[in-house]
Amino acid sequence: MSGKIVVSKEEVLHYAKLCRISLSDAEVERLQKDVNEILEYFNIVRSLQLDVEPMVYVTGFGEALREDEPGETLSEDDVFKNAGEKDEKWFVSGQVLG
Amino acid sequence: MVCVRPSTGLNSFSKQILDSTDPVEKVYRALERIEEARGLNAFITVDKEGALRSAEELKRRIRMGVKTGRLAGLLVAVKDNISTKGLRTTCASRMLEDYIPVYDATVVEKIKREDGIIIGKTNMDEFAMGSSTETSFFGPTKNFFDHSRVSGGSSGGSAVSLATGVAELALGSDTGGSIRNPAAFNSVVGLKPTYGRVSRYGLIAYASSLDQIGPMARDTLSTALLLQVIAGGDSRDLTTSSREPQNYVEEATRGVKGLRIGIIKEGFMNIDEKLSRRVHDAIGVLDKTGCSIEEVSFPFLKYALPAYYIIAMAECSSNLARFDGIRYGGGRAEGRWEERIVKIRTEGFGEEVKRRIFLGTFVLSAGYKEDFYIKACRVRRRIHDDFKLLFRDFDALAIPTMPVLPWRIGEIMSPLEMYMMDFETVAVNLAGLPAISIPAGFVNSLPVGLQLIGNHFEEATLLRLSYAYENETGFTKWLRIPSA
Repeated sequence: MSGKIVVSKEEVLHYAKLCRISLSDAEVERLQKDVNEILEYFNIVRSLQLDVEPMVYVTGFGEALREDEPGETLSEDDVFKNAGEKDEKWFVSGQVLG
Repeated sequence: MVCVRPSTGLNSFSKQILDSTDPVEKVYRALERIEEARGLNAFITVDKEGALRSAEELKRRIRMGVKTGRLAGLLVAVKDNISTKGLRTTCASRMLEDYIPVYDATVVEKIKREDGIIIGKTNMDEFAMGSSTETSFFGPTKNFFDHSRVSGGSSGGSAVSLATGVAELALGSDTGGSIRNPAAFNSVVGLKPTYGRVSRYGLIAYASSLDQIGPMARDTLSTALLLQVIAGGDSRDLTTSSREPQNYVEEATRGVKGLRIGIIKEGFMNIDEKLSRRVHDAIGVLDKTGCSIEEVSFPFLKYALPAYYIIAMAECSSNLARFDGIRYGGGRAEGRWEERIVKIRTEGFGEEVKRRIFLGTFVLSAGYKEDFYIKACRVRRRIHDDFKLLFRDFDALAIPTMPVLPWRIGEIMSPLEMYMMDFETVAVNLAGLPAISIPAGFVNSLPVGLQLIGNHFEEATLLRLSYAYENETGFTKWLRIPSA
């Protein structure tokens, strides 16, 4: 499981698409070089055999749980204050279907 | 600026500050100083109107004899990834260039409640992703001691706002060293609290399991005071601890006789010899104060850096998915939905942010998640457990804050080389521990930081050591702040 991973140009484009980021040809080239260098460095973790459970959060949750009761909410004006574009009570996004 | 040298508890500490200065005059002086130091680029937004309004209101209340808060009249600089109601909060990103939060972060609410005066929002690496404040959309913050060099990061603006004498207190955030690194590079104090000690509500997230807001100041007791105000549980951040914060100002003055310090020898390997010697000399000062000092080994430390970056990038790719330009950070909704989002993200994020989102997406993708992300989380457990073993024998661990001196702006071009600069700081975040960086003197006229790491919720121990060290060295005098 510790063989070298080399990300191809096509893979760079595929993952960039998943990230919703577009790249110029020069950016693809630079990112590919950087990513392969960084992944090679990450390999020292990949090749470790560790017999411990993964730790995702240091603290446990639960201390701060409260009753699920309605509390203060933002006003309509506040909710839309930073909207790119709005239409009365709606956020406007680009066309999704059709 | 007024130099406060408190010798007793919190009340007299606040009172001395209050008695000594007219808050409105103080704000005017700070605004002048900001203008003088504008070339250092410490601030993204200066809140002249807000600061003057708060100062006037405070002055009026003082005249009326109304009881004032614990931060009465103190000028606070806030890192620009911490939400301030009605005051632009950019995360040093083009994406949030015009974003105005509609609520205050919990820490900001607490500062305002205690009559602290927020003077402005400080420069940082974009979305806190960087170690030098060079990735800011608004340009780099320059080092206080050498303007051709970096301020460190990502909380570079907060550190420089203190070093230049503008702010008396500052808030930073620390995901992998972002408070401690710029504190070291500008000879100020920076404390990264235990994960969960300070609410993250209102902090624009980078890597949620590692991010922690913390206090910065020129001296130990001011750092302790700000921590005292911002610490505590918060129902709006379920990762906070309900454990009652201590009286950190009083605790800091308790003395250090008998405290056991372990020097992590791996932290001194492959670093500049002069820098290593300087940090050892600084630890030697603590030896004189009655602490016992011993060298210890932490062989697994070398795995902390790659594990940290895998985890931080994974969490960043998820956290930054929210930036679609629809609710904030966008323009007109032209084009199809997907095209629009791609356009906004491509134009809004800088190169380093894109690189981290990309790598985070990669290490979480099918086929690689187990190999990278889960493995990194296992390393995290091991680092945490190894630290806990060391804390059976020691009250604090000592290590340099940074492996190098502040570098020249633009000198480090390779992303991987830049990541290596976090070698000394990231293990603390993986384990959720508190750590402080205190001024350790100079090498080639550039500042060096000593990092002390404590057990969970042992901020008071770190502040005690810092205060004892400050009394021995008088490190606040190392900042040559021009008198206003």
